Amino acid sequence: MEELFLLSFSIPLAAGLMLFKLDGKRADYFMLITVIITTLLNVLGVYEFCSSGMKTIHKALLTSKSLGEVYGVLIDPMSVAVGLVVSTAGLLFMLYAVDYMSPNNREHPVYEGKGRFYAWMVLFIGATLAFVYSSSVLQLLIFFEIMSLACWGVVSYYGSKEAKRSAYKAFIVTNFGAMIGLYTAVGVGITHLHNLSLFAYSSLESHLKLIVFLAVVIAAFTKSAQFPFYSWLPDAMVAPTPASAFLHGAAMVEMGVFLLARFIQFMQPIPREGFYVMAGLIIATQLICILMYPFQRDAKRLLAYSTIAESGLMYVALATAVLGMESGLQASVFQLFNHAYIKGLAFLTAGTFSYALGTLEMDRIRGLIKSPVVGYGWTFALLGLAGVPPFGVFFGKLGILSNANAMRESMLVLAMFALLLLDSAVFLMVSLKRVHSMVFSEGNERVEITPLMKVVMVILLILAIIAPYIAYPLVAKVGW
Amino acid sequence: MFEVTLTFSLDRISVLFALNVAILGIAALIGSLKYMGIYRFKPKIPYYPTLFIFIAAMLLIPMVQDWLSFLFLWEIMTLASYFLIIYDWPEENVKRAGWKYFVTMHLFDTSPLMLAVTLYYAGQGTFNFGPISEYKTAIVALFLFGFAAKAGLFPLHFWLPDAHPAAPSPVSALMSGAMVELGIYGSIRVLDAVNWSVPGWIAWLVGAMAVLSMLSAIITYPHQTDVKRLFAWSTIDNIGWMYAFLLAGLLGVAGIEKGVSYYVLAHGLAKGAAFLTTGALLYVFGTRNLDEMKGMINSDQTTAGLLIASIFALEGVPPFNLFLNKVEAIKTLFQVNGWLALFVGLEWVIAFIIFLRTIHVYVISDGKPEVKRKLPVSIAIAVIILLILSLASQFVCNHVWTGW
Repeated sequence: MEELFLLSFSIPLAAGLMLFKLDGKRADYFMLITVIITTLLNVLGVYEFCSSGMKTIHKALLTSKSLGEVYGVLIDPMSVAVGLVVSTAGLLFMLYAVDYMSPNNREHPVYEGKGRFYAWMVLFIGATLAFVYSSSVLQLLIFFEIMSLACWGVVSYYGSKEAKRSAYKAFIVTNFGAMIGLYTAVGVGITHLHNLSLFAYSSLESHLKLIVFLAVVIAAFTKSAQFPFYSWLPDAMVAPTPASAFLHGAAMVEMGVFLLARFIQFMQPIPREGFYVMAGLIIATQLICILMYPFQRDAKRLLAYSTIAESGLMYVALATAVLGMESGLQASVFQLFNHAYIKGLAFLTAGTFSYALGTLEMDRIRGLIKSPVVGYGWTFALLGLAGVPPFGVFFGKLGILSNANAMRESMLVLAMFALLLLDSAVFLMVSLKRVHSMVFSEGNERVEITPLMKVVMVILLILAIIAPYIAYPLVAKVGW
Repeated sequence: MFEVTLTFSLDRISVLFALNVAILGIAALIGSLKYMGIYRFKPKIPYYPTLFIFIAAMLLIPMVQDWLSFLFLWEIMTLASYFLIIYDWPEENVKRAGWKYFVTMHLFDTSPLMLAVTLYYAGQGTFNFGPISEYKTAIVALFLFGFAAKAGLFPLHFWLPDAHPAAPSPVSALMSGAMVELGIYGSIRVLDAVNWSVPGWIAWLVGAMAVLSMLSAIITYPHQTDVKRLFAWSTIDNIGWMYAFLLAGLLGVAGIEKGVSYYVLAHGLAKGAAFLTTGALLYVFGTRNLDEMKGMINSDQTTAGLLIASIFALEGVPPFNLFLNKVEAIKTLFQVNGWLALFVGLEWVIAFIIFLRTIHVYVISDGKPEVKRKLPVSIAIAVIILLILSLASQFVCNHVWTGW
């Protein structure tokens, strides 16, 4: 079974390099075949994993005397759940990209050089999957950096000054996180444990554990764009929309959460000081998002702040896990799963604005209801992100809040919960105003998009509703 | 995570609430048939599917036996009602009312309920209904607050007079006659779970809010010229009555569930009839403004007759059965506080006088408003069914209550 997972990330990593040389239709087909095979292998792996009773599989593929486990695969409910999101969402976003990256795109017509975009994206998918199934800290570090590199590649894709600047910013910030966080973790592993396997880290002494944990928190927070490292994400929205969707919905940002979840899973119990640092930064992040929502005019920027807040919620769940709630870990992965598809839908709908209307400025867009898929896609995506059922984020938020017993440990938990609810209420206020002016209003222009784009959006909408039911069996087995 | 067993069952209380939803749902569907013809444009909000989801969610809420499904259905109900409120979205004030409604609900209804439900889960380890032992006061307070926002109890009533006129009339009938009452249902369920023993401040806060609801209603009634706003305030008034029952329960009167459930059904039927009649007025005269309909009895006797009958049903004039329920409310209150009972009785009389004046000023007065369209039979039938049932609600309730 582990071969399936190994192949599912080796194939895109290899094919991604080849895609740099291709362009036009050939690039389309080569990319689609790669991504479809990747997803099929992964889904097949998930199926086998579930039908074999969800037993954790850990295989060390490369070990050395002084470094212990250098390379391996770790297939457990957490990595399988996250990998499933990454591969399925990745496939859908890439399907959409085939039509989106075309000369018909009004804001960013693409005549040539598609191959380069596909190459970075496929590498991105491969690196993300490889990251998810990693079992050693060195692997986490390597693929963390490849993700940052791929992110630089897609953000700078359009080549404008702003794009290049944002791309360097994204790269430098996340690279800084890797330097602080993962280098420390690897260093401690080499010098103190003589083993880089994740399993070894639970035996660290308390003070070293705290240092490693705080270092990883910094790494994770740079990746997830949490305070004080948040500003690269709203800037990175200059990336082509399918890439933004992937960055926000299923990969980059969520991998920060996954990284920290992994360390909490393997290092618990974690010294209490770790919780206070996390809680402080999370509360600051939540406050910033609440304050920033009303001032956003650009559709993708609004969504970027929503991503920061939603991943903040995943960290709220992880903070309760640090306090000893095993279900906090589950709630975090559950929210990650539920959030992915609806955020993807939101971004792909925003993509239709630039594709068909040539603008992302929300003030200039009116009468979307004339094209019901786009109009309702935007309405439901925003409502779903605010946590309105039947969309999955509602259950994700309930899952986080149900760790209320953590309040007995620290009242900061109550503050984070209150801000969680306030955040969704403010987001609803802002986005409902936008829905009223953009969707339910008179307008002349119709949003013309291709059938493939429509199909992808409808599938994402359905997935956003059924996500909790898919995720639940896997998430319920997550634990330490 | 998420320990829950999904079961559906009905006890005597929930069957009356579900019956109320079912009857109003059917009446609203019949009332919609012709009524929706007044909307000339294509709003691209699918009316009947949304209405169906709205009714189905409300029907299931009294049946479920766990807080997770309850909350899920509760939110589906809110979402569906929001889309129905903004059905006429080219009107700017409709969108404004929809925004106000949804945002208020999310902030004051959804948020406290989510906290309450998850606290319950954290304490009990399951979402299934059962006695509350951990975090008791916090859970009860949060639940009651959330339900009060949905029920439109003063001072959380402010969304209600805007939302009801904005929605199509059959939807207003459902919202006023069935949806806000589910707030009462939820409160009963929570209070049952703690055996009606709550800290004194909660009981008195409920009492104060109930009294203020009635007071604000009778102060506001005379200033209303929009007929749907008038009836929306009447809902706030009647919610005050229902909470007065709950207050009596909190102060130690046993078995008030029966009185409330009876009241809810009788009020729901009358309120449904009243709102469907406003739909008839809108259809016939093309306006909701009472000033433009002065002397309507001279133009259209059927519609005017339905309006008078609905108002009598709503104000508890015998032989309409709401009379018996209002008397029951006063009797129950006498067991806990005589002054309160007197106040409620007085409020009833004042409200009746105000409504009588409304009839005299607007219905049987000089003038002859122009009839734009003939009253469709389907709307008349829907109203008449509800009025006839209003004459027999006590009997129906007794039959169900003893036989279940």
